Amino acid sequence: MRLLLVLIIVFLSANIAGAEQKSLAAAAIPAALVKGANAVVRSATTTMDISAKEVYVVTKYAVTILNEKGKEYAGIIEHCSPLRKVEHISGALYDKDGNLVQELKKKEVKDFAPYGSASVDDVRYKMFAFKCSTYPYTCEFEIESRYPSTMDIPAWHPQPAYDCAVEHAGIEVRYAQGLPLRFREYNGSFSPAVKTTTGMNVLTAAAGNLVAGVESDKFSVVAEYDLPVLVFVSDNFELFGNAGSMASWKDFGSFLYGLNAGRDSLPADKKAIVHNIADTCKNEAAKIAALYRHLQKNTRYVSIQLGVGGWQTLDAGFVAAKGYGDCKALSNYMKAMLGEAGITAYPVVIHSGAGEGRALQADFPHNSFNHVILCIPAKSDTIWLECTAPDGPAAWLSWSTADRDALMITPLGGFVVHTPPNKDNRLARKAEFSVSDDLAITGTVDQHFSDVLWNAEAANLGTVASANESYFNQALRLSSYKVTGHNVISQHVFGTPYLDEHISVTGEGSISRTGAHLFLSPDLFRFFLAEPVSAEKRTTPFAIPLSYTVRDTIVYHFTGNYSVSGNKVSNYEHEFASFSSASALTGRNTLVVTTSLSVKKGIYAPEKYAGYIAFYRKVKSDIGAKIVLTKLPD
Amino acid sequence: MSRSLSCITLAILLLFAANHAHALEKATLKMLLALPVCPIDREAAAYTVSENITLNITLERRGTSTRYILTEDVHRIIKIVRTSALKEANIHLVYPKNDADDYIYKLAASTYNLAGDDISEQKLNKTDFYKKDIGSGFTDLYFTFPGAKEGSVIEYSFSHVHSLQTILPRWDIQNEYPKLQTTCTINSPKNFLFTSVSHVAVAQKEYTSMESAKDGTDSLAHSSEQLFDEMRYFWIRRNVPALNDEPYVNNYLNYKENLALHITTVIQGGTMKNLNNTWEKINDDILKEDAFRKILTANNGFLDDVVDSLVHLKNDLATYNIYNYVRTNITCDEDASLRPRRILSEVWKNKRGTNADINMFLCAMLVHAGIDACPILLSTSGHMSPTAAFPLIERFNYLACAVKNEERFTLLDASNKYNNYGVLPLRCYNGFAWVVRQGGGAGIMLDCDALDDRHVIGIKLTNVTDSGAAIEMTQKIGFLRSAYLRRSWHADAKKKQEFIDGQIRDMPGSISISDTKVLEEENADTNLVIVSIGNITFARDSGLSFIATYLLKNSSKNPFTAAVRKMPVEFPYKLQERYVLTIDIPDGLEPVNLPPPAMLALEDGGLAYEKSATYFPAMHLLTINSIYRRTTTSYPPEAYDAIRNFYQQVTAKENEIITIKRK
Repeated sequence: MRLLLVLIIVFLSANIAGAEQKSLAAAAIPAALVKGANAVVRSATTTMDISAKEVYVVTKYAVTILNEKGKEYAGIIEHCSPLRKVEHISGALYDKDGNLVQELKKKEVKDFAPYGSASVDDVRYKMFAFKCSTYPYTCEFEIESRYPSTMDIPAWHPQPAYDCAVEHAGIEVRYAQGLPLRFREYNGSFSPAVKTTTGMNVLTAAAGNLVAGVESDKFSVVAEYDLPVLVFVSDNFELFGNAGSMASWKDFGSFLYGLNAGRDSLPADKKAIVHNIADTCKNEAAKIAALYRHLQKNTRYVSIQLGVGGWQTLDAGFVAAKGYGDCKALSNYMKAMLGEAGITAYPVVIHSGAGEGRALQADFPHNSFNHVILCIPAKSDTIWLECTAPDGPAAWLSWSTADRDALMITPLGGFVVHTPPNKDNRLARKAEFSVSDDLAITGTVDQHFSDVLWNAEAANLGTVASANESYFNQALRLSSYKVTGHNVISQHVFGTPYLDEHISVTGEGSISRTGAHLFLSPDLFRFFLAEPVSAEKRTTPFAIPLSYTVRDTIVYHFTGNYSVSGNKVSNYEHEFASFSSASALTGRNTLVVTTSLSVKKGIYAPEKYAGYIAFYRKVKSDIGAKIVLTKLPD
Repeated sequence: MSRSLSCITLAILLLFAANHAHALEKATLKMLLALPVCPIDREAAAYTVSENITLNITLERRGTSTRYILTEDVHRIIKIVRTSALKEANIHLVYPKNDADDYIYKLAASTYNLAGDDISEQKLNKTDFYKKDIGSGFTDLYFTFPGAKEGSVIEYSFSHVHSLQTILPRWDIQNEYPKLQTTCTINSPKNFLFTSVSHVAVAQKEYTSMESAKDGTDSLAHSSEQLFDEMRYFWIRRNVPALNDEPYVNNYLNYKENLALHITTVIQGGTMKNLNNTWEKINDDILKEDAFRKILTANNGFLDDVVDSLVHLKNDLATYNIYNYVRTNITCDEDASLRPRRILSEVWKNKRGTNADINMFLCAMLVHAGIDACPILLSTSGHMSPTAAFPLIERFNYLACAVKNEERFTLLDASNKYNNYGVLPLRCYNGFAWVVRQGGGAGIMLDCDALDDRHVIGIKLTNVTDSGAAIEMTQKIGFLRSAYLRRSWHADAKKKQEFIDGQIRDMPGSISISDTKVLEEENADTNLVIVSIGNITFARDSGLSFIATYLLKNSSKNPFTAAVRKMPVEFPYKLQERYVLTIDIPDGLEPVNLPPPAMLALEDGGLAYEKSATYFPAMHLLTINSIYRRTTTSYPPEAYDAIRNFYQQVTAKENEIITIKRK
């Protein structure tokens, strides 16, 4: 009887195994899921047990790799830190028919930690990839991980990336009935449902038949999430033994305030320095600018984030002694210096990076921050400080933190605030050349960059004269020229920065002559309109992240008299941008070419993208078109 | 350099020479801290004031056994002039984890700043050093200097104990910042003999002792002296300029000053033990390694069927057939490896391997077919070029295959299905290479002069009116560039579209391309062909129509813009680019004037350009022909002005316009 039972179990096991293998055959994937995909998730199950203090997650999935481009799905890179411990990894490789080829051996999982930058942290990675060159094939992985904090509960992402389709994915989340768990889904309809049994809540959700999507490009809208996701938040949480609440933004702000309270005392010698700097300043703005300059001159960004240090700042005394720290620590140190000067400042946690779409949501508090800046509230003009910038002005935020919601941390809790936009993004360029009889040119080029465009140009410029000369030697689109002199003036002390460049050049080869005709192109400067990406028909909205204007004037002085065939004027107007250009002779020997491009920030409907492409081509063609001049008899 | 700065440099160097101890003397330090710029380079963001590397080879006794160990003592003093150089204040030292024979000790570091009239020193303490296990058996020891800012002087020293290898740590004399002084000392038992390869362009002056070499002011000085039972070799290099990369340099590492040292002989009890000090010895040793010997000499019977199916014609075609089979059927999963990692049967079974696995597999198949094939070891660009005079296998990082045909070798790399037959990828042409052969290998030079590429661009304008025409462009891309583009497009599908978009973007604004086709994209044995069709609009004035003579603008800007040049100008290969523009001139239109013929050439003829325009009224045809030839691939810096001028003239010729009008 016992033998019979064993045989039955063996038979059933074999059948189950066979069934599993059969189900992994690539041929079984519905054709609709294969279309446009490099890989297909065949099945994925996630179970998550959430207690008051930790989260335990088991993820098991099988993914079929369809071609070479999908091979990244044949591997895993699991991050580990004090806030995430990976406890088990297993995996297997199956051929196209679902036959087992290889099993992952524990020793094959590579453990490594990144190093080399100015940072100290406790992040490590576990990495492994199956190698197979006969497509399709299927990889199966099971990963068990434990999060000893409930501040950041991992979200569920059923579709790993746009080029991976999904046959079926499901999640089961188990948590005690009293645990205040919130959830919200984005870009999907998973129908999450919660059932209660014996004091436990069990949330289940599923997704299926998700087809491969469209790859994002530089015009894509940067959203909170691009793909389907289910986000979980526990209103009450613990972080390294510190209890907190995320029931509201106010509560989360209170937690961060408490975690960082009392870490802003300055040593006596630094207090004296603060008074030395600030006491003679005429007003609060001048004090802020002077102390900010002191911060930039005497500290630098070095990230030291060990354990709770990811969220708790280093003490101001540490930064005072060492002269370095991360964004939290430098902001905290600046706050301490301002406090000593009688100015109240508050740290602001923010998501730094492209697109304001990742801004926090007022009605769904959850932790999506990666940076800290400083805010000095004022009735008329609130001042914002980016304390990690070694060379930016006080009271100015770059595009990476401007114009978005963020959370200001105060003794009264958190307050949602909005950072100011970059409103003065201007580039004005003027070139004035004398053209000799042999068509050599001599002249000057002046360029004025402001706001975000200052940022871009300041980054391009070298810190020394020779680097600038080499940069200017590449900056103009003249076919052959030499920089004979240059001068740069940059204002970046307080408020919107600007930069003025003045260069002197001599050149040849940019004007050509045939008979009595001269040919020249006003295509002299770097082009400041984003090149469209190739798309036959756009199906997603396109975004222009920044408003800016570029105004160019080019003046040529000739030695003889010329005519130009009619004064050429162009004017194109769209809701996303406008362009105008004109070329005209002043007198008979001076040609003036002017262009003006104005681009408007916004998110535009997909059907308007064709208009953008046409606009780009027209502008490009207009700027690149040859102007023909005819020599008049002397 | 101004006289005052020269005096300061001299003063600093003399003070350092006088202070044989490492500790900074206060007066020197104060002078350094007050200096606003580097004495030998006013624009440097940082500079090394003093760097001393000492390599001590000593005999260590452990119980009854003895062994040689190497202790590397490093001491550096660096001045931070500008904030952009503050990265110099972050130090990472990587060494093996849990290796009793490899560790770092005696670590000390300080930051100095001016504090009024005084000097403040901030020493690093134990808690300022962070150790991290970075995996693969290594530890990263990181520290950053407290209080480091613009104007600071930072100083650090440490000792690193290694087990002794035949190659000593390289003395990197030059880097992105200038150095006032750097020294290298080797203290070794006198029974060790060294070979050194110096990449230093200045003359070396010989002294009899380290002290006398230190007392001099030579740019490069050397001494070797016997001290009791050991030898001391000493080099000092002064006023080392910063090295920064320039465009059109194939491998800038070849211009970076360094000294590489190799223990070639150990004399033991009157007998000399040679350590791989000849290429032939390296050749023999490699052939003793299983990975090479077994692959080349084993029966490999499992290859019988496939080799037989590929070898059914004469020998040269058999080589191609086998090469083509391997490059199309076996996928490379890791590039740039020197030694095979998998056995042949594993490569065969999985149809994948590293470049070394695949090329050894290719060798084995060729050998199995009776073809004289062997591995070739080489260095890819981005690595310092090997030299024939310095037999070091460590200089190689890549393995390909060589087939002997009478007195020459056909070079093969089957690690990518788009590689050309008989030509290695461009990055493999990086100097000396070694062909590993039974019974004696051979050294060959892989240089850019061995590579020749030919592009042809044909453009036709038809349905010409006085306002525009239909345009058809056909580009027959050279073999080398075709292989490069195919590999690049295959690795990243976006690259192909970017290439096509880039070409369209660079055309004159008056051209509108409606369709582009890429032909022969998968055929690695022929040229890639790109055909574009569209329309061109002519600029017009007073009854005249104007047409640019060069409609692909890749040469419309001088590639050499810098006013001065420090390094040689190097091109990756020889090139011939032929351009033919044909315009059907209909009845009723005629050209008004044509550009004069042009012949431009550099004095040595290594760069040449010709252009001519011809009108055939009877055939209603106007043609523009130009040919650009590059037959020299390397020029010294002194030739830069002439090269710049040559391209300036070419640019002017390519920007010429032809005019047509109604009759």
